[in-house]
Amino acid sequence: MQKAYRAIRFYPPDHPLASHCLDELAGAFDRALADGTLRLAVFENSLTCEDEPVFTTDDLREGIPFILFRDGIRSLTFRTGLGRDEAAELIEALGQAQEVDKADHDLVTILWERNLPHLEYQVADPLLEGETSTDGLRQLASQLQGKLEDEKRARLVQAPHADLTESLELGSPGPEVLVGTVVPEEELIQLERELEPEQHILEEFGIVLLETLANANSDEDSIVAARGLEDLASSLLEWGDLARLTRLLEETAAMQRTLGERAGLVDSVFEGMLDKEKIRASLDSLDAAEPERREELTAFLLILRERAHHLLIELLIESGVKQSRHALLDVLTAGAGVSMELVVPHLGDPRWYVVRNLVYLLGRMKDPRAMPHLEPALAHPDERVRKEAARSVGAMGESSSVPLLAALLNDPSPAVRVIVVRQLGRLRSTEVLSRLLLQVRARDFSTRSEGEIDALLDTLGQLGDDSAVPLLDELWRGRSFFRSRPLHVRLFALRTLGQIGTASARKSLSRALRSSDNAVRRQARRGLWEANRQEAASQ
Amino acid sequence: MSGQQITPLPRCDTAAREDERSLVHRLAVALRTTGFHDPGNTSVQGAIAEFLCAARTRWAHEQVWVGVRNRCVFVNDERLRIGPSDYLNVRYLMDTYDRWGLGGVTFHPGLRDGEVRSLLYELNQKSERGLEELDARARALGLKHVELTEPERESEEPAAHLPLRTYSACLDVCREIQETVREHRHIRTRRLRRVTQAVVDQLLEDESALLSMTTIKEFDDYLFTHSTNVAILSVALGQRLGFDKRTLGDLCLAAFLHDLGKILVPREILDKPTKLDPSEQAEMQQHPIHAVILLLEQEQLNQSTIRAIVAGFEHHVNLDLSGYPRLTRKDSLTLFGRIICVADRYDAITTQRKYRKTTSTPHEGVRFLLQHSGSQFEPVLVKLFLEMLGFYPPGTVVGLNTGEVGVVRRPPLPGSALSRPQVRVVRGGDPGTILDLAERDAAGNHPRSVVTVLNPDNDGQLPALCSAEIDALGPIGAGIGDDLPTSPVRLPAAR
Repeated sequence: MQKAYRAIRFYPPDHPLASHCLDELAGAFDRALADGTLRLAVFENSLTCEDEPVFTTDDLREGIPFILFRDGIRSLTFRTGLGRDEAAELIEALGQAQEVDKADHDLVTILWERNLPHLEYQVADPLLEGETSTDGLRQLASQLQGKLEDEKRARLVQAPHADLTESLELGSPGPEVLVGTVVPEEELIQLERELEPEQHILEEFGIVLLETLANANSDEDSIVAARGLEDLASSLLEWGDLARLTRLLEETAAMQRTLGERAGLVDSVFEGMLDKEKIRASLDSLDAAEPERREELTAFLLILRERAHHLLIELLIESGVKQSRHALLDVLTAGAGVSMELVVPHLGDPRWYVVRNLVYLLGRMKDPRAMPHLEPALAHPDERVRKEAARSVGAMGESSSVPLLAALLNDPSPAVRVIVVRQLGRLRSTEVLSRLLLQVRARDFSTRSEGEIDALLDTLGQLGDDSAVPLLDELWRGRSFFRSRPLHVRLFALRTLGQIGTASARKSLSRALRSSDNAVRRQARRGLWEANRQEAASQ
Repeated sequence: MSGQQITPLPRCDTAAREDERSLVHRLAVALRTTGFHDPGNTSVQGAIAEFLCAARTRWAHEQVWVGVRNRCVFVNDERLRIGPSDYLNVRYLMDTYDRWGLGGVTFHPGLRDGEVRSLLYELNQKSERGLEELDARARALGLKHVELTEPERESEEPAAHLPLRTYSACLDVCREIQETVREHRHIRTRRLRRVTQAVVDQLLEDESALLSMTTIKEFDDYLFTHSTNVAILSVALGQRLGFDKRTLGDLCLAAFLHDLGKILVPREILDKPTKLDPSEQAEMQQHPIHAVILLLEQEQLNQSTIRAIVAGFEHHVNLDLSGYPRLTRKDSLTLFGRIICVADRYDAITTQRKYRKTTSTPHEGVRFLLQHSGSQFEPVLVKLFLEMLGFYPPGTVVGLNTGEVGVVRRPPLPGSALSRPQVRVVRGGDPGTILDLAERDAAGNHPRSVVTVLNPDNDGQLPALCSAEIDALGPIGAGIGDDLPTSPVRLPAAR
């Protein structure tokens, strides 16, 4: 027992070492109980069997005898049939006994609640008290009873008497209703079903606290109820029960709006949630969590968002878990309100992803004052930051965005260039047309990635005019001075002509209809259809 | 908060318990130090000063008793959970008490340094004639603020499961809780738990004895007997719903504490012999709110106390939410709330109160539940309640077709008709005889049946147990302390 206890103190019960010790203990019980019961007397530092010490230890802190003795247990009787599970429960109970003091709890209660069928124990003071006088009760019963027995004094009054069978709605079995037949099984099952989804007791508790707040007659009582809510919310956060916590906070917020002058008392509930370490623990658990978990966390943080910008940004900067950073960004970008001043000081962070996330946030603030802070990020050594910076600058939608983005058209990273080109298309600024044409004319154009060519020609289609048609006409024809062009370049060029849709562009597309290449002809038809659609739309 | 683990919510004020531990620890250290050093030694002076400091901090204006029973240390009836690091010193204290045959020492306010020193030196002397000698020496030394007490007599009925003792312990605990809460102290949770565990154990073993005791109504101590009765009736109902032991324990605790809020309702309202006016009514209806507040102010919140808070809040709400407090968000009652609501109302209407001239008989009590089944009360629970107590619950005074008058002592036995309980004859026939109305004669007919219900002095009922039966409950079973081991550990005799 001592060995198993030590093992379970250090390892979880399913750990091989703990499990092995529990197996050994179960085996030892099997052998010891083969001939009947085993009774161990408990002393401070020893266990005895039939007055012979069977275990002695000087270690009061971790010794089983003292753990039993201190809570008043003076003997243990084990009965045949005690299996491994029960042995494990006993050892777990002993382990729990060390932790329950703060709950004003003890081993006797733990064992009582576990209700182990093959273990009996004797307690020195079963009711934890001194003398309980039963004399008063005896006298009272005697006195009350005497009333009737003394016929001269007693006064028996006729009382209402009814056949209760009818009230039971049991049909007409008469007064001979048998015990056990009053409640039909289906009614019990129905009650069980009705209460099966019974709200978790903590949810009930939360609602009761809110009702208490609503019904309290004094500020003092309201404060106690609010503190109860604060404790409950704090515990739910500690246990990571975010779904319930979110519901509680939503209910609390709704209740707060009805509390009038006492509304401020509930603020502490929300303020108590701003516990960085607990929120961090929940965030960190997201790494291996189900998607629903992330939704729960996001919903919870959204409630706190207005009060927790500073904290959430700190966590965003500190978090090493990708999932949690995503969740934080979702929360921080939902609605408006994050102050730029909270973000800007951290833009010099050496970690690329921190800067990238902050740049992302800045871009979604739609605050023109953010532009000067985004500009340095466009030149960040890490292309992932530059990509995000390009998106953010584009998302700002400012006229000053265009030159900043255009300057990145020659960025060494194709991925950055693609984003830049797309953002320029989104901004619909014709002033960059000549810069785009230069890119298309570049000698290496056809050898660039399909994505970049697609982006460049698509943007050209959105912004271009007749000036681009000769170049595009040349592109779809398929042959350059040195070699034939890849098919995707030719097809994208035809699509761009369709997007431009001018007379000269349509003429070029018509020529392409006579191409010997099926794919080119098909794309030319689509291009013409697009050009015609645009013309019809403009009329 | 599920499973076996008890997880306290973070707020935890253990100051009172720590003060008690500290007091005992310092007393034990001072005793041991005086056993090894002369009175003038600085260690002795320091240890005594520390003890006095601990005593004066918390017990400056009240006496404090430090006692030992069954090798457990108590401070003012609160059993301490001694830590391993304290144990060596505390064992010295316990051994010293044993050696003198001393049960405890009461320290009164005004205790002086010299008195403590003299007492400790005397305790460390060799004992010739035990406590008598020690007491004489203490008196000779003029120790006015120290009182020595004998060990408590071993109870003749110590087994916790004995119904009478369990019921009495319930009343004691109720009384204690009321005092504790009035004095803004924390409820002794461990003691309360032990008592509720005893109730559950007793009901699991044989519920009829405890159920019968719910009929011994104490007019003056309404709150004590009412809380106890509601706890017993609730657990008996919970048992029929198939609750496990732990859940029954939680239900018992919740039922026990359901009316705690009444402690804060002015006595003149609680005991008003006439109808309450609207403002008094409103004050009375605050008691479920008070119950929530008082329990929240306790040092620990765990699953059990949380269930007690919820049930305490709900017990007057009614199944159809027509009661009080008025709800804004809650739309149904928990099962605990429904159970306690039934048990509470039954016990309340069958208990004599100052504001009623006539108290309902138990038979009328179950009829009332049936009349409001589905509106105020959960119908399934009402039916189970009826199954449990029968048409004529224990305590009902019934007139039989034979002209005899009897008191129902037990509900009908399993398999018997609900209208055929066990009755003790009190008038006519052979008084004291126990009759089972389910018995049939040779022709298969019931020779005796209830034909009328009587209300003795309009008090509603009589105790289901006669005093002889109560006496019989007392000394049953072996004393639990009889075969308990005594400590073989003996420290060297003190100087």
